[in-house]
Amino acid sequence: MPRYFFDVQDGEGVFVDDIGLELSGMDAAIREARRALADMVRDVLRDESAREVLIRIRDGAEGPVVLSVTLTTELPEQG
Amino acid sequence: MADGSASVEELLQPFFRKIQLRDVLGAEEQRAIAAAADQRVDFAAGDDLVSEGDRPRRSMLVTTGFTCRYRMVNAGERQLTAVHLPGDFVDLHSFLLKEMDHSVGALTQCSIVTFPHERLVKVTERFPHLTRLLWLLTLLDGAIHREWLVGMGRLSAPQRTAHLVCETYRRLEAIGLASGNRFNFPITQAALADAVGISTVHINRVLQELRQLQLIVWDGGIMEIPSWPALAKAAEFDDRYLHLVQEPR
Repeated sequence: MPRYFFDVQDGEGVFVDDIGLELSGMDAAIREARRALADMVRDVLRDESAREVLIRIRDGAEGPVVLSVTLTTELPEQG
Repeated sequence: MADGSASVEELLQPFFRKIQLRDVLGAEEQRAIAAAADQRVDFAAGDDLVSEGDRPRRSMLVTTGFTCRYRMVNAGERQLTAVHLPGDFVDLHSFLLKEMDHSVGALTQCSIVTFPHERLVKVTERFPHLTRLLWLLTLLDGAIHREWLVGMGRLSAPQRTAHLVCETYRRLEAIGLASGNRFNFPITQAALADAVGISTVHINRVLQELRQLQLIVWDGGIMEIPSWPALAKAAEFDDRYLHLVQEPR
């Protein structure tokens, strides 16, 4: 099974995954990224400065980024 | 009696210490518990000690290693509801509840000692104070469950992770199995994610954040806490729920 790596970028910085997960394929990797975003959004939304959480899925430890899954928060302009 | 090189009294030392932190355990009570012990069994990491739906006829007490209570949901997602350390009964519940409503799995290689339920019945009939102590142990399990529930509902994922590290250290330290703000914690990141209730991708980010903040160092299965006050503050950890106070029960 291929090993996918999930780098996270949010208001706190970039967190590079150096362990990865063995998954059946790209569909499973996207599911995993969506689950992780769903987890993370709870904490991220409490942080008022956070606007975006991004997960980049890499195919292999040194592999290229094959897909990004992003969650964006649109905040009203502060008057 | 348990087999193996160590005597059953030696194997039960973490259990005796766990009780003696909170009350006085008499010599006769210690002998009664040791005499009720039956077999010694070893498990490998990932093994189930007991499964949901089982009707065990014995309860198991951990003597080395880490085990967990867990349930499976959503066709393959695991949620841990407790982590057991040496000295903990993993399924004293089954003595009275009969049917297991959750499974118990080995997080690491571990050893246990079994206590046949019919022997526990005899112990409870002969030793009322010891019976109250067994009752106390299930109340402590309940207190820890409550603390986890508060964390699941109100703390962030990094806080919950930090809290679990604090809790594990404090419990190990209390029974003399850890000191100097470090302990042996050779569980997988996936197991930690299942305890905290988040995905494996998320736990990786959480651990990196805790490392960057110098709240934990987790390397080669050893967990180190560079500053206990800093980690406890981040986790809002207060050990009151562990009831580490010796008083007559």
